[in-house]
Amino acid sequence: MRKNLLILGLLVTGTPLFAQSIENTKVVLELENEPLEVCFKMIERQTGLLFCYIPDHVDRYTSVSLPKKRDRTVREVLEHVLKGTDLLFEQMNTQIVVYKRRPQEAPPETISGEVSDLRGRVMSDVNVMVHGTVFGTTTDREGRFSLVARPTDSLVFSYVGFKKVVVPVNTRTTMRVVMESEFPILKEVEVNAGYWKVSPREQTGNIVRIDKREISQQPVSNSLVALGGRMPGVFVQQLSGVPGGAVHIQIRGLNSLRPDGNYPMYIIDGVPYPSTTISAKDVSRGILPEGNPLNYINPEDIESIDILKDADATAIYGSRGANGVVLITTRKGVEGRTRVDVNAYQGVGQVTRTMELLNTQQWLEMRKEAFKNDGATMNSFNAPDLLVWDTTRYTDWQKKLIGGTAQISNIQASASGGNKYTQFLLSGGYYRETTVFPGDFSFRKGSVHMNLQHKTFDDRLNISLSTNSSFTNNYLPAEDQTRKALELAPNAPPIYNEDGKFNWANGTWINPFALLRQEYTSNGITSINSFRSTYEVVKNLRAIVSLGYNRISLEELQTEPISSHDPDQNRNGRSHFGNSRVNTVIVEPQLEYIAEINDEGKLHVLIGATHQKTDTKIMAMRGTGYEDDRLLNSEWAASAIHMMSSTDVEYQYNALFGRINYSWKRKYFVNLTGRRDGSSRFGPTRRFANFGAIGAAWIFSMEPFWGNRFTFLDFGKLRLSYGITGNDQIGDYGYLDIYTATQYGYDGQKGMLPEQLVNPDYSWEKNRKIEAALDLGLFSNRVMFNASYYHNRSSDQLVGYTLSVVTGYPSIQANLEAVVENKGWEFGLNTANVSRKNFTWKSSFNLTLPKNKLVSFPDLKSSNYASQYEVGKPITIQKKIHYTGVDPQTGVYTFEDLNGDGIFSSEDYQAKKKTGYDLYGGFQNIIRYKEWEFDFFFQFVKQAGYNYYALIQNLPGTRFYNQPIWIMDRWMNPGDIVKVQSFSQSSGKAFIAHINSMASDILISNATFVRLKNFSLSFHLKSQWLEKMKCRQGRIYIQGQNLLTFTDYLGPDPENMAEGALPPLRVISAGIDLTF
Amino acid sequence: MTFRISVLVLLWFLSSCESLIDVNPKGALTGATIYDDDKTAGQVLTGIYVKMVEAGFASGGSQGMNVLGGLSADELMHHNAELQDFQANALYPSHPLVKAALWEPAYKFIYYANALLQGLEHSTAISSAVRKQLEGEARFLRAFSFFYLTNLFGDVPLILGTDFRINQVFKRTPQSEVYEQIVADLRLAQELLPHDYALYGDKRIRPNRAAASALLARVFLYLKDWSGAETEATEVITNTALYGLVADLDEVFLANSREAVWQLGPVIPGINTHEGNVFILTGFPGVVSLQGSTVNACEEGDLRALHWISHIDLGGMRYYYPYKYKKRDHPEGEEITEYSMVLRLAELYLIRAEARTRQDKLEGAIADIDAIRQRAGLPLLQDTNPSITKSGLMQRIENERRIELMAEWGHRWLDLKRTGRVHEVLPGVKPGWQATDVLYPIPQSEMDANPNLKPQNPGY
Repeated sequence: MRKNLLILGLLVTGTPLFAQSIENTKVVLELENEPLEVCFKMIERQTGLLFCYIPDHVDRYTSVSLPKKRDRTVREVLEHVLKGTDLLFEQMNTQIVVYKRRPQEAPPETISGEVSDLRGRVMSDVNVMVHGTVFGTTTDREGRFSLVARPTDSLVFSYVGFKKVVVPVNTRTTMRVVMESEFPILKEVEVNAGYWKVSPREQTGNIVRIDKREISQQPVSNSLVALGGRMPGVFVQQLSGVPGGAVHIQIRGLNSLRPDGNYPMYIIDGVPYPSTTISAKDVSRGILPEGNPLNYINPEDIESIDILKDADATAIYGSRGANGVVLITTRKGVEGRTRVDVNAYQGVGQVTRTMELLNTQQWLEMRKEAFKNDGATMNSFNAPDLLVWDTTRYTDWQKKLIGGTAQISNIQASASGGNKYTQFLLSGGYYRETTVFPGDFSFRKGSVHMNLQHKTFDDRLNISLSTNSSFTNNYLPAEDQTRKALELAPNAPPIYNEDGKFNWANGTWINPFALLRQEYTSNGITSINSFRSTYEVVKNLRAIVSLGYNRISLEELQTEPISSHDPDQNRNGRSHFGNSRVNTVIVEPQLEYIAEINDEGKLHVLIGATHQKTDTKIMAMRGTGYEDDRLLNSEWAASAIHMMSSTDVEYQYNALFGRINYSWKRKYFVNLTGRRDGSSRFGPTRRFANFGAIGAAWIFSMEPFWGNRFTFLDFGKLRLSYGITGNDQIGDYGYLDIYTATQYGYDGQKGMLPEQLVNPDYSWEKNRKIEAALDLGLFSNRVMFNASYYHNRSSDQLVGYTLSVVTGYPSIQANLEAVVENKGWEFGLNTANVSRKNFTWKSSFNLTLPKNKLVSFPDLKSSNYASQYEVGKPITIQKKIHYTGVDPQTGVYTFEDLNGDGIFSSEDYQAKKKTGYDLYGGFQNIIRYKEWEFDFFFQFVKQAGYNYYALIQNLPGTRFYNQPIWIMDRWMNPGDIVKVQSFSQSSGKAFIAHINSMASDILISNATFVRLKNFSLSFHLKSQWLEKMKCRQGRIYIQGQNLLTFTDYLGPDPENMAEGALPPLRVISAGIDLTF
Repeated sequence: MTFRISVLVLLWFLSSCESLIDVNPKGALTGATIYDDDKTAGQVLTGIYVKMVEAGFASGGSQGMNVLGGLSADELMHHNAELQDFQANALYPSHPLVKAALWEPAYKFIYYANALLQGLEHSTAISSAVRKQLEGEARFLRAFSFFYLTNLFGDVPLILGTDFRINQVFKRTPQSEVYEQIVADLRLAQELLPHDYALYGDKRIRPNRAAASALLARVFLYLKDWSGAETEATEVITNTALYGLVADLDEVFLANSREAVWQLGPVIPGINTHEGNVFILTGFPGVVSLQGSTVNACEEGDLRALHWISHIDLGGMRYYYPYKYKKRDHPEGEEITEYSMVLRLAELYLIRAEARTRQDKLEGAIADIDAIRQRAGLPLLQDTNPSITKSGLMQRIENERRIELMAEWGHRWLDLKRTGRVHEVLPGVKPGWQATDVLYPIPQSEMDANPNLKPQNPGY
């Protein structure tokens, strides 16, 4: 058993008693001119003791002899065979360490030398100490030093902001020491590049990372939410405050004209993970129209999230890298004494923003005026609010329906530890979040995470296994109550009659609390398993196998009880059932070769293959005719069951990939990546394609010419990358001439009809990416600055090519010669403002300036997309009738009649406004003072979006919708210059103007916001307290999410910009984190 | 050793790339396999019926010919903004319903029928009996769809294949050629389809030979081939073993009634027929109601005014509605009692009456009309006016058709158009009427996608 001799340092510790001691373990040995190693081997075989030595030291002794004798102890044997050699031995546990006798203590000598940094600049005032002593000196202005030390000593060089250097003296009397800066912010934590890891210093591509610290200080149930605003080029939008709600993430803009073609690729521990919800939409539509599968993962099980952006980073993912790649790494066991960590917090959440709506008096004024303006007569059908309902009532429906407080509890416990060879981590978590809706709705998530890693003593074989399982239960109202909360009239009737039953006010309203009886429940099980093994076949060459298996399954139920309906309607109960699952299996064998070439060069080669298979099954059924509400959860009790939708598809994917990375002199880096992909989503002749990229980096600050010229600049790197990636996010079987069953049957038989026109010739969307970037470290690396410019063009857009429907279908899937361009600047600035022992203050700022443009689109005018896009404009352009204000004479909205024909139609559409962002970023400050740590983070987005007018069908005066208070500033008399047209209860010219306004750009307005996204204050428990508590570390904290929002947005929340979806919650939590 | 194994594994991956990514869709068949089997080939046809009833011009619902045609004529009144332009004869090329309800579904059914006909042609596995049956039905349905297309839009692309590369640049085919194809398809259907409904379990929900003859009689009437119309109508009328006028007006539209030549069966759960669902009013009308003028057009004592028209009084207004179908919806567990009537015997009497009048066979024409009048409880022409003139008889037939076929398949609209009477009747009741309104516009997006469809119909 060969083993590196690092263990020598431990020899100073004493040798306690062992069960198997060399003093009393006996062996029978006879040797005649055998190598010393053979002797060791024989002892190992007979005793189970292991030898530990440097082969070079032992190999010299090729012939030792030992006469046969019974019952010799191991010590006796070793003393005999080692006599006359320069080797000594000592037992440590079950190992016998054989080491070289130290030379005799030599007399101290004067040692002198020079210290410089990586760029050759001399360093003064560097501390030089003799290790383990108090003797030392500092370097002078020329970076020179001299001191006295023995050959057995080591010298320790230290300087603020630089890595400590330890140099053994040995026989030297002069030395040149090069110190490397510590990059206090650009930490040498390697980022995950997918199939390999790379240090930020040597990175050629654009990879950004967020780690556990930043994720765990945000009380969120979906880790993607925690990314918002923290990374340049990564735009995150939380679409709903309902637990389990959707989160959109866009990496460097929208590349595809297909809304479904803009998801990044998610990979958890090497296994691809679905990017879209697997929920059966027919069941979950009302409450979770989108959802996001990362909700099933416990954020506390995540060690880091790395986002790959440019060609150099994403090309290794070939046809799936176009929209960027999100790599999620789960926590791994760490060597050392077993650590038990317990973290628990409790929080409360409320919606971030509500709207100021009309009160009863204003409502009545609006309604009466509307009738007057229209010259209409009220009757119980068109004015129940005025004629039937109590006009003195007032209810704040926002408070009633979405004004509750969500209780959030989270507890997490983990144990981790292990030795140098085997490490483990076990962790369990439980998360519970109630809702702001009335009722005992809640989302619960339990998770178990396990990681086991092992490597052999010789470090040749490494194996690692991770499994992550979660169990979620989401119990919610079937409908998001936000819309109702904004729309209900302020004088709507009381919820209950005096007898405690639901009040239906003679059928003049739909009782919102009765509707709350309609519920949605989902039960999900998610399991993510990955195994990785690497084996060093020969020196520098390693064979790697990664295996992964993911499964998500989801059962959903949405009920519509009899009691949720007006009894006069005499309706039976209904239920919707959903049953879905996604399985992914992936196998990735790889070979990796790493070699040093001529001292200064380093070559890193990787080739690998992928085979992936994903099958997805989603099914929705409706059961009708239930006679009793208690039976709604059973398919069996329905009098009829209808299949609503069923998806059962399989996706297979194969690839061969490779990477060649060469670095020279630690300052020039070239990285070539390539992938050949085959995907079952394309026809047999178009299945395979090649993707690749080249990236290069140059650390110019290490060049001699840079020398001492710019002393404030410590680190400077230029990066360039270019490459092609693809996008295969398109439905399965699109190239096949398939016939599927019709939803309904005829005369007891289902129909089978052709699904689509067949084009076997379509293929990937291609995304050509270029990036140039500059990284700078200034003022002893206290300021780190980076800037990237990217320019991506996505071509061969996979869109439905418009056809005349006489062909049977309105379009055929084809690669259109349309090109979408995304370009922009990304900036990051990290500063260490103050770094003292008791007080540190760090800031980090990021800013993204993106631009999106439709560069070309052949025959756009005659395509289905004519009313949607315009060449030269962003693809988020909204072609609308242009709104020109309220006419002071007529009092109604006016619009620009482009073709002058007096009516407003699609011919009057203009591309004047767009939705989406122009700029976004974040600003974080971390302040530590003694035991206190204070962290706050602002997110800012400059954007436009659909406003209140689009969200609620805004016709002030109509009976169905309450209105924001500002509509009281309406037109009343000729000459009034106002923003809101005259009230109408849905007829006349104001109604027509309203209909036109729904197709106009009045719907789009500024939605810029600045948000105090996160705030965290922690107190690290003092060591004397910790001792009493038998704790190693401890922390008490308060955290807040979405605390303050500054915006002019005309609507509830500028982040989700939706009236039908609950705004994100403002959460405040307090917790404790203890490590034993 | 391990090294060799890993290289082998890699090589295996390389060599087997192609086969590893072959997928077979589940729950679906491909065009290559569906026509290998009698049953699955038959399901293609079933699918067409499903789609016909689900939505569009043949559904009987709010997008059906019964509603849209009725509005374009003087029969119905709209209560839904989307339908206003039909009633006002103010359609425009980008009107959503022109494409979504009429043009697109018709071409969809034609595509399905063409795909089926092509599949049958290439298949060797289908039994000859099934082949005959499927071809007959497919040709019938194709002719049926083209009949409505050409009557609504005039010259329309006569698509008889499935190759989108050809179809997407297709020009409009003159109406006469479209009719030639309709007649040819129906002639073949007559030969291929069975004489009775035994094959359909005695349900009249798929066309048989008589259905082909009935549609052919109508086509000949529209083509002014009077003797052809008479012959075809006679063939059905004389088949008394299967067909007869149902004496009780409340039973005419029942499932498999003796008057039915072809009905469409139920598809969507929860409703009986779309007609009943859309027409019968239980509150304020949301789609259409019946024009008062239609009600007034009934003669004194016409039983149809009592049995086939009903009304509801709301907010001081009386709303009339067609009440041929009695069931508004279909409660769970109850039996379906009504089917959507497509072709029925009464129409054939009226076709023959008109054809005979045109051929100056007035006596026979009077007898045919009297068959209808008798059931409606009206005095017979034979008794009251036996010496009625030809033009008087034509007027009688027009009135009779207006009431008898009221709110069915847009008969009134197509009748007024084919006789040219539209230019006399509608200007008086439709303020914005223009002569060019007789044809609906070709959908704008269609002409954008295929400029060969130009020119647009006049007036748009």
